[in-house]
Amino acid sequence: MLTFIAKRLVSAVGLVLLVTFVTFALVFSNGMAIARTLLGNSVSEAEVVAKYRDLGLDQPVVQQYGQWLGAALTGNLGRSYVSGEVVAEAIMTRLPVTLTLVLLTLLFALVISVGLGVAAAVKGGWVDRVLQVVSVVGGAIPQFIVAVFLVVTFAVTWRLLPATGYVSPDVDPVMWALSLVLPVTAILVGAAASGSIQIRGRMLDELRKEYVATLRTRGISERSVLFKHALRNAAGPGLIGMGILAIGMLGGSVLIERVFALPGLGMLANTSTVSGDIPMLMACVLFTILVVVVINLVIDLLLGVLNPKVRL
Amino acid sequence: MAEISRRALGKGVLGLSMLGIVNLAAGCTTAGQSSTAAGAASGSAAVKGGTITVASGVDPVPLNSVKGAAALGPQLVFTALYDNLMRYEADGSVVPHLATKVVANENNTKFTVTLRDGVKFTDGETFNAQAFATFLEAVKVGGGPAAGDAKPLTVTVKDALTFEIASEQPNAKVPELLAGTLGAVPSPKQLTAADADVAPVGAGPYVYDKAKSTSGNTYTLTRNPGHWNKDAYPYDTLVVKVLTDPAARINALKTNQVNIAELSATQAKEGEASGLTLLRQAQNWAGVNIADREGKLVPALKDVRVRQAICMAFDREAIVKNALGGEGTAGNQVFPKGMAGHVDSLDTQYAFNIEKAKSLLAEAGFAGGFSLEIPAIDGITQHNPLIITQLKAIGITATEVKVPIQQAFAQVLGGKFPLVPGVGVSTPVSLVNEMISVSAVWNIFHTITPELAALVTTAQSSSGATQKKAFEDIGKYVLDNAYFAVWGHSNAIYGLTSKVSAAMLPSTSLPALRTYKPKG
Repeated sequence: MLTFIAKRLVSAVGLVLLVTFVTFALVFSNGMAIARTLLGNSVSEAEVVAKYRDLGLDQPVVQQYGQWLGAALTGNLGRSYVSGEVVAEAIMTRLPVTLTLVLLTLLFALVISVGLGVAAAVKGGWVDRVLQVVSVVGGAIPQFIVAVFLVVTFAVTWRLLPATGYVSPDVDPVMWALSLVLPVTAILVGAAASGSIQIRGRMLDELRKEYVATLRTRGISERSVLFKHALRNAAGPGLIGMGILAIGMLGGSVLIERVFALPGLGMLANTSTVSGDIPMLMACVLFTILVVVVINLVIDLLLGVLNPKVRL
Repeated sequence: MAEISRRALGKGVLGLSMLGIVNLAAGCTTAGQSSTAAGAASGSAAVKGGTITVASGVDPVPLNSVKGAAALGPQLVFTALYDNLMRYEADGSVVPHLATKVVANENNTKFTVTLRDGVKFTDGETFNAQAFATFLEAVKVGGGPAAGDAKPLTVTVKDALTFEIASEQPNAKVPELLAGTLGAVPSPKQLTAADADVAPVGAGPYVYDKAKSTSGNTYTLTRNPGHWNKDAYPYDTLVVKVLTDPAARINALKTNQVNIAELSATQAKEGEASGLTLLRQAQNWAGVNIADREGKLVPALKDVRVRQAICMAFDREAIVKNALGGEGTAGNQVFPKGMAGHVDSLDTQYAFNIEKAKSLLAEAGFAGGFSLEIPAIDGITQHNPLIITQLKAIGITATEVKVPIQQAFAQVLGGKFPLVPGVGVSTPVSLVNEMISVSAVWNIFHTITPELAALVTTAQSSSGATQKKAFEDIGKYVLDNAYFAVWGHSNAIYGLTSKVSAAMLPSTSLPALRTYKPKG
């Protein structure tokens, strides 16, 4: 198992280096545009050139990347070009918001997907048909529309939940929970729809296999057949699906963060890109990759536990 | 048995891990700035001595006026933190505020400024002439957007409360600069602090509360008990909430999460139907900047008849009604109605007339039309289809060229496009400085004629009636020569909840902080 983890970690390091370098090369290739964006439209070309040089954007990209990487390895991600904040501090205030959003959604999506997916696969008939219709509808409606509908209904019309904002749990745990209900639900609709239909499909595949019939003929209880055997074997692809879903949510969270004004990593990455705040953008990319790597590693480990052949 | 235990253990570990990660994620904010959404579901009461919450579509960073932007969000926060040496009045004039007197010489090359006595920064330092001089020098080398305005200026400290601002060229914009970023003076100690960008120290009515703020999302400012005019500000706390999404802004208004927010033209009716009070103020002009007046990229544009034909290709009333959502005033002048430079008799100079436009093109030798490119900047292409369609109607083929938002300024201001979908600035002085003078940023190809240069010099070096006449002459000149195909002036619209009153000022297009009052 240790060798398995070591292999995964080595490939993760390679992935981090590759993605950060490619991102760096892409965004730093036009330093003058960055300087111009930072200064706005009312300054002269000479001032833009001065800013360009002041920020070191005139140096070769590889050299700039080396300096950034060296500093990043010591925990120094620099200061924001725009706000002047220490980048690492800014990330540490945003990352928890996005992670909370993603993990809570994932948790609920997992529970709902397994529940609905197994029920549809086992019961069949109208339960299965309803799930399929609901999944198609849930998956087809854009997150943005769901979010707007939820805000108009539950925040603006009924005044039950806040329309925007995030409250830190240490300030007010109840408001923290309330502030997350609508954003999590907005993502959950699509996530649960796709997750449950995946679990349903995998469960149906498993239930058609010979070992299930064998288990039943041996008098093993149906509950045990379903949850200890069939679901366990169906869980592998389901886990991979959830991992992909989580990674997708990291990228897609920007829309939800914008609609609900959540101070998350997605919005930070978005505004950093638009404003030319490269140190902040690079940190967003770095931490997003790290989260993706951790999610993949956890899934690999879980798959390894579920199926020892994966470790080979 | 052993296998079952391992599985059970595995499930338990998985469950605990998920819970732990969520808790860790949620709890992490404790160590950093708490991410409080002021108001949240309970709403913001905005009573005297309470909290007023304002939504900003722009992140007002950095909080350091040395590097700060000139956008509206920062203007509000800068005014709250630093106050301003001058301020705008409802009639568009600029009057002393933290200064008590500003006297210009005969040609606007020297301004003598007298400061209010007894004012202190929130760190206890004295607000004086030397503080301004130190600040101005810091702005010059600070690399911020105001550096360009600061560099031509030199300051001479006369005594503790008096200084002179001088510039080699006449500069009528100085009073406006002192009502903006260059009038937002920080404490000299802030200028040398390592955390100057995130720890502002000013002499304004409010103080930044970092512990209750999250950069990029919520900025909490609390009353400065030592402010020289604290009774003018009824609220103990000012919260600026960054809401970049227009739908989020109006929803936050409707649910009382914020008290003041900018609305888009398409949201005005919805806002009124929801019982919000709406403030409207004509602001920037909308239209087309015919930048290539010397025909460097498109030779046809050198002919004034071609530029005039372009001006006639647009149905202004229809554009204001449809493209600006009915929230604006149709017109063909760069200076808005009611402001210096506007001449009522010129309003119909380029009435919508496709046939006349075509005949002008034919007269100029372009009966068969010609082609040109316009920028399609990510996210701001809403008027391009209109421009393309109307130009096509008179025989000009306009093609969009995609421009990433990060390269917008570099490409557009770099002179890559002959025509630029344009917006203008709001005050006559700023408009001349930024769009018309030879060095103006939006005079993209830096074209000028001796006649226009003379008018600009007069406007820059005069005041009162002479200056007003110069602005009118400039307006007529750029209209006659079709420098801009103006469609009209769009409204800035702000929504207010029922418990709050505020007023828009003509030159800032943003409800002024000192007008925020509880209602009823």
